[in-house]
Amino acid sequence: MTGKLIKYEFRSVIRQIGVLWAATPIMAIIFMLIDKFYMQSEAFETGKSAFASTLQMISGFVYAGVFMALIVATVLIILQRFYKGLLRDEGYLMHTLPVKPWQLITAKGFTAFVVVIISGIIAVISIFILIGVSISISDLGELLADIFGMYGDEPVYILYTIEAILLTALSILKTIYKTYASMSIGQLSDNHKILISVAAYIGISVAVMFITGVFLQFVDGEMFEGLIDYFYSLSRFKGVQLVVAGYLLYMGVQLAAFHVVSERLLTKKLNLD
Amino acid sequence: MEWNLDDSRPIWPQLKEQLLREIIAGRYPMGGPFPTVRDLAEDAGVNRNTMQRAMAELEADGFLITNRTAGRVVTSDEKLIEAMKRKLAEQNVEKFIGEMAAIGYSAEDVIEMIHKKEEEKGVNNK
Amino acid sequence: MKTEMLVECLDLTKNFSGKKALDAVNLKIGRGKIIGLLGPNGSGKTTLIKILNGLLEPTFGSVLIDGEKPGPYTKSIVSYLPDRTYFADWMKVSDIFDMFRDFYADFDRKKAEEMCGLLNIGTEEKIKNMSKGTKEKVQLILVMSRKAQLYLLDEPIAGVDPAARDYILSTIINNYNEEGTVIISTHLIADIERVLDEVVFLRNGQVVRHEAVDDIKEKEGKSIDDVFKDTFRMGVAGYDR
Repeated sequence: MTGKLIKYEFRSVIRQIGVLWAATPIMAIIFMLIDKFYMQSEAFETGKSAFASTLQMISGFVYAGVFMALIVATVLIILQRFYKGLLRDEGYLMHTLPVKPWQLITAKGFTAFVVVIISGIIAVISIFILIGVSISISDLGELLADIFGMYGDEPVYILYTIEAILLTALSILKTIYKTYASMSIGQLSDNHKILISVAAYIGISVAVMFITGVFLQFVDGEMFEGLIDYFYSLSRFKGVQLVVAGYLLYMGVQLAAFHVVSERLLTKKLNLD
Repeated sequence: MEWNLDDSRPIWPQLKEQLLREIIAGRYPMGGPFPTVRDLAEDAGVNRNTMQRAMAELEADGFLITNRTAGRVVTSDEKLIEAMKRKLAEQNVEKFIGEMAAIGYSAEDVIEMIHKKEEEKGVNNK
Repeated sequence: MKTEMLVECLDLTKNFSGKKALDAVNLKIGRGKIIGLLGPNGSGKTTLIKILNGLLEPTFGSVLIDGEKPGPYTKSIVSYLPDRTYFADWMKVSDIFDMFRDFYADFDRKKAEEMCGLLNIGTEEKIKNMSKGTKEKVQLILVMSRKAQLYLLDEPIAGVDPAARDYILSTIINNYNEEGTVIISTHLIADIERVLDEVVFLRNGQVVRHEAVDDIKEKEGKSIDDVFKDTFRMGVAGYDR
């Protein structure tokens, strides 16, 4: 059932942001071509063609606009698919489907995560196009060969790469779920759902900082020194692993907490008006 | 068909009366098929349970017969229908006479008035 | 599963910030019936329906539908028509049909398409661009194209013109699953009393009467509409909202 929910989430998301996903690289190509043409033309040398320079400027603005729109739309879709989809009128449809609230939340969270990744990749590609990095297939093959060569020489880089990906993924997911938990709190209000959601987001941020601070409080003085000593006694590899593991745990705990808060509130305190 | 229902009384007996009237009037021929509960309920704008009850009563009284092959049909029992027709007619006459008596007409007066009416009708028709 | 009673409420209570929206409701509802849930605004009709379909958790007491607490199983046998439209902006009629087919095993897509065809509603039309009345009809078609055990219809005829009202009522009585039960909440009783088998009167969150329509008429010689007005002592002026 969760798979089916995800299927309809994607249908919805693609209809909303699909155009921007296609438009961003296309506009980058157009801008790049016009720019190249203009730079190489005589008009540039003599500085006489107002038309060409205007065209270059306009295409530049359009690209910048589309790029901004992509970022804004990505953020909006994450918030809106959850808020409108589960907490407003559409909630009457979704919460009466034969599924459990955690499945609804998971479908939203997974889809939002994939949307962020796709938007991110598209943004990076468009920038690459713009700065004229044209990677041919053979270049790409060479690059991959280099990377795998490095992995072959130093297998530990495979681990680092995986850890970097995990950390990034977890922090994106954690941020998405933080907004979910905030909106689940905000919906408790009858008249100020959005306002309370924003306040809840700020409140949660402060609370996380506070709790982190309290934990760090425990490890002051001697214990802190002991920890530092222990840390220095480790090899560089072990030290890095310890920090990474600690950070993964830190993110994971937050993610789990935000999910539980959202799930409990939507199960016990759903407040559709 | 035209349904004439009064919301201050239970609906099913009214449906039964009106269906019976239709059967006696020969709208549904003897031995012929009778509409389904579903169709009649839809036509009358009532729920199927209510129509089902009215038809079950008609069946219990022998006016409708559920046939394994042909579905629900009107009885072929001429005597039964005849008797019912008679009974209904008598009820109507009784009621009519009662109402006339209440405003001071005797049975003879009534008969005379009926004859007069019939004659007028005859003249008008010519 | 098929328990004898389709719906059983036991001391069902719901508080909203201290105020009792439902107050110890005890109610048993059988199968194969059309039931009117009648009461003035604020009497708890919508709250009761929302608890039955799992949108609200009771504060106290319990409810069983086909022997189970509201959850994925009961949602799979309950067909719910809310008092508002619930479509998303991106949906075409065919999308919501796909969705119902994927989530409800009892959804008859062909039937739904035929019903849309009769109203000249194209399945590739965007729901967002439809009139309010058409949206409501699409939603009714979705709900009545399921072969559900329990239909929960919240104010299906409120605020519609007579032609739409007739369409809605005939769609309900011609399409519901006869083994299932239909619960219709309304305050417009004269329009629907003819289709009801039983009525439940709600006042201030309490069930004040639950009886067969025929029994009430036999006893009181009055229409349900009149009995309702007597029960709630409301003048005609204050009656329609």
